[in-house]
Amino acid sequence: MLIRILKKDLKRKKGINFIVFLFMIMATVFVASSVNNILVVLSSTDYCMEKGKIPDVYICSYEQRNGRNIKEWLEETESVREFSENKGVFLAGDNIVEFNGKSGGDYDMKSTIMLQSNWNRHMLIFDQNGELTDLAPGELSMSKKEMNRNRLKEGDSLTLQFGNYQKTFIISEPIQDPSMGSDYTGLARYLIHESDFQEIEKYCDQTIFNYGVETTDNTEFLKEFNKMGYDVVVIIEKSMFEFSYVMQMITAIVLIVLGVCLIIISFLVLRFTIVFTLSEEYKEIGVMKAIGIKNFTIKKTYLIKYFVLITVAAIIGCAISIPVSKISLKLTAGNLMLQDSRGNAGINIICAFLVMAVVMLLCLLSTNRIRRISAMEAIRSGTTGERFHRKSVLSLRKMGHTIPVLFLAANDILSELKKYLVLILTFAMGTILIILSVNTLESLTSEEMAKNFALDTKADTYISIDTIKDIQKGMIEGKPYLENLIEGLKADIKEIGYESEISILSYYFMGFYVENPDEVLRFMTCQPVGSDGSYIELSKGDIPVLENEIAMSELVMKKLNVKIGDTVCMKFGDNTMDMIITGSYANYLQMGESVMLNSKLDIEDVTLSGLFFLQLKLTGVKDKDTALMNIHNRFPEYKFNNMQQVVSSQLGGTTDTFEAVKITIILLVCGINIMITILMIKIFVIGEKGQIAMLRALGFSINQLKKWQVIRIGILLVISSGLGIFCSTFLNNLLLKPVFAMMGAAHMKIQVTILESYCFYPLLLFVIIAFAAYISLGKIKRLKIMEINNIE
Amino acid sequence: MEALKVKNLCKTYIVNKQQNNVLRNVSFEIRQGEMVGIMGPSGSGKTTLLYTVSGMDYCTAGNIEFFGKELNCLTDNQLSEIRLKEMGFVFQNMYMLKNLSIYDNIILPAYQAGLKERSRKEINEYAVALMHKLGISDVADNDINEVSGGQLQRACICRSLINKPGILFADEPTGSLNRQSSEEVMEIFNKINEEGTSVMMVTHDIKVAAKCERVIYIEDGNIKDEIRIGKCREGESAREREKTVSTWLMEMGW
Repeated sequence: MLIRILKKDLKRKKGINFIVFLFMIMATVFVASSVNNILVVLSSTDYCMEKGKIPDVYICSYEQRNGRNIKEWLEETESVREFSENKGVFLAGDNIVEFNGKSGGDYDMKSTIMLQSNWNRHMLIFDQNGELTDLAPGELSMSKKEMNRNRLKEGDSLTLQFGNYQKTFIISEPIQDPSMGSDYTGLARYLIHESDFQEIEKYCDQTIFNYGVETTDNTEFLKEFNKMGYDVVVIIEKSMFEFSYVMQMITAIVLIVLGVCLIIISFLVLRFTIVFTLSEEYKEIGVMKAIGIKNFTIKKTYLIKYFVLITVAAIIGCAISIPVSKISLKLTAGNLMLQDSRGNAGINIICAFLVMAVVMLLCLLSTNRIRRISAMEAIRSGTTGERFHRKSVLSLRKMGHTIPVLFLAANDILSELKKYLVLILTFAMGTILIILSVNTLESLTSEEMAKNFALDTKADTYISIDTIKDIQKGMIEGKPYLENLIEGLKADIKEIGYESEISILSYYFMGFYVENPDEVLRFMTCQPVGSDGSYIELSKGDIPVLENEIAMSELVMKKLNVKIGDTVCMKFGDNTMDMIITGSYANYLQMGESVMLNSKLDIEDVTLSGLFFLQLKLTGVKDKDTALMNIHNRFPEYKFNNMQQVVSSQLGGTTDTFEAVKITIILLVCGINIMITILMIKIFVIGEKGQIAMLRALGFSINQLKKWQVIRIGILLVISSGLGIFCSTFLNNLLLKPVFAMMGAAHMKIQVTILESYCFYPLLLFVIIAFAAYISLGKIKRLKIMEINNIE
Repeated sequence: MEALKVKNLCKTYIVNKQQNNVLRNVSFEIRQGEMVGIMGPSGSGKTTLLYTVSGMDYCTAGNIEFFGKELNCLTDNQLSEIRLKEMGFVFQNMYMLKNLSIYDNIILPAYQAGLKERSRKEINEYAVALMHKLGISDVADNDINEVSGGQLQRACICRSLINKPGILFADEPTGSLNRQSSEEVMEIFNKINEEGTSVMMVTHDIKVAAKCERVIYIEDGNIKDEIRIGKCREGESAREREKTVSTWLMEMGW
């Protein structure tokens, strides 16, 4: 008997049952893949640190230059448990001669690249199977991201030149780099065989010395190391490596939040459908109760139906979730090296059971009403006949010249707001997800973000520093070299008829202390060359102008426990200098921990840690496009970038990932909204077939009835878009601002392109959903006026 | 002039692959201003006949002319237009939109019909006058379940008259009402008919049928016979008319 009822029900409402079934599958897939993501990603940081043998402190230095030997000092220092050494060379644009038949000038070098052989003790590099990379002479390996950037594949060639030495390498299997793999480290490692490296080293001007140090106490070690005043390119503590992975996890967290939203939507829809199905069948329930069938027997009919549906859906969902988990792990983890990149099938199965339990619980709770209502109430479609508030909210006669179908749609929503709440919440959630993803991407590529890199946003073009010949010399010679470079470039540009202003930010790794010279902290310190740096926006105070003035990021001030107006001691080489803090500013580099020097101070005998883009501003030029084209032609070897390209290059793959996330969100939200719309329209039409038949009998045409339904969905969309837009303005600050603050952009203004966020996407959703609603209203035509007998 | 002219009307349903001929070659006419009752045993095809001649359902064969227009030749939209503007419907179960007040339910078809002929002010005035005439002015702003069955049926009649239709179709309009309410509703029908609106009414009630000018008896989808008892005159004995109908029905095998 039950099977017969079940078969009949599944057949009678096959449209609704099918969509509910799809939602059950979706819920299983979302829950399983999200939980898998959370577990794998959360365990990945520790895994990466351990597997990659990340040292307590990593030191990178051109130590040979000033004759002091870090290695010897490390051997003697008590706070060093053990250390290991590895050499490397930084690759400049002119080192790459040819790649895969193309000129080296076209090689896209987004990150700083260090060429080295595998370091067997620390900062290990692995192949795709998680085994230590073992290269043959003549082979070169890089990360998948680096390969994709230049469309390289295994077996392609890359020709490098150092002085007179040239060698062509064959690209080998991509590597996994647990230490430098994060998008936020800004350094990529290319791996070659030890013998090849030794050969290159002979022709290389500057070798980089890398040290991995295991300490007894990091603070103690750094205090002693900083006291020695060694000239370093960079010092990175293990915590900083870990933090770079936390940042990498932001993408994962965004996707997990998305998964959670989709789970909520799925369960909301399921609950609504179960409750609706029951209320639709109140009359039958009433009759069954009236003839003496027990409550549990009636309940069993519905429970069995949903049990069958959810069991099949959970099995299918579980099967689908295994490859989906794998794909989403790839997307969320990015460059993270995962313990198990395939996800855990056991987790998927547990999640499928969990979804089954939740759906059955929803069913049980919803079917509890069967027990509570009397047979008479059930026959009266769930009402007792008592009414404590008016149903009709609007009045047609008071609505002026409103068209009747618009009035009917608006009145329906206002009269039964609770019934439409699921749709409003779902559509609003979708709108919020889209707006937040659009705003994040917009902010990441905005002028505001460029300011967080201390970039001159008014510059006309930005020249990639690695395309400047012999730039390695600049790293060593510092400011005088850069000033010469700028003057030379200006003169060359003047030769072709244009006046220009050129500036660059040079970076040092300086030590600072307040009172105790034994407590030196090192921070990335930038100095504007070719400009006074007045283009850098300060959040508080003034730009440092005099030789003894500096500005600091708030994070640095907090670490040194100083404020604007205080004096700190700056240590560079063997020199120290008292500096007055004139202001605070934000710099995204080095996770927001940075110091800005005035442009006047001449720093000698200190190796640069890095150089930013050459910023070129044309002055007194009307047709800038033509001028820029002429400059491009004059310097074909240089790579010219616009502001977005600069920001994007500094953010590593973050913008690409967020672009992918944005597209995924838009597609998912549209797909889910379409499904929900079709489901709801089907539910509404079934529930209102009596009213529809009556309106047809009264002379309403099919088109007008369709309009009524579409307008109702339209009004719901307008309400939910409004709600979504309203909530997203708060969530911008509540969710996105802290994320940017974590990345160092403490005062980042979240960018909102009103036209895109508040008009284009809500309108796109509106059109798609209205279309879906119209299409799914075909059933109205098939409804006979005789259905009037089904009116409530 | 004929308000409705039906010729050789056939209606067939296919149920479980079996042909069910509900109406077989039904032919009749209703003159303008005439009030016709349709009677017959359950399942004889009365309601199907009402729904088919009013354009709510398609006929399988035959011809239906409504004030000279052939309904069979009209599109769905044209039929809707005719139902909206030229026909009125009263159903047994007093169907109304649950989220609207009595007043809004009444004026809805008029607002939907458009404002070419009447302004909204005129519609509202007419609705107030109709409600006054039918004695439901005091419940105009009530919800549909805040009024009695009799009041609700009167509201349905008001709604059916709001667009001043040429013909009123009624499907057992007193079926859910008590005796007193039934008599009140029938008085209203008589009044409407006196004002020139044709009425075609399906009923099981002899008292209701006796108020009609003519009664058609249907059996097995065919018109078996009809009786003309003339318009209900003032002072005429209702009992006498009922007796006439009753005797005739007995002859029909009722």
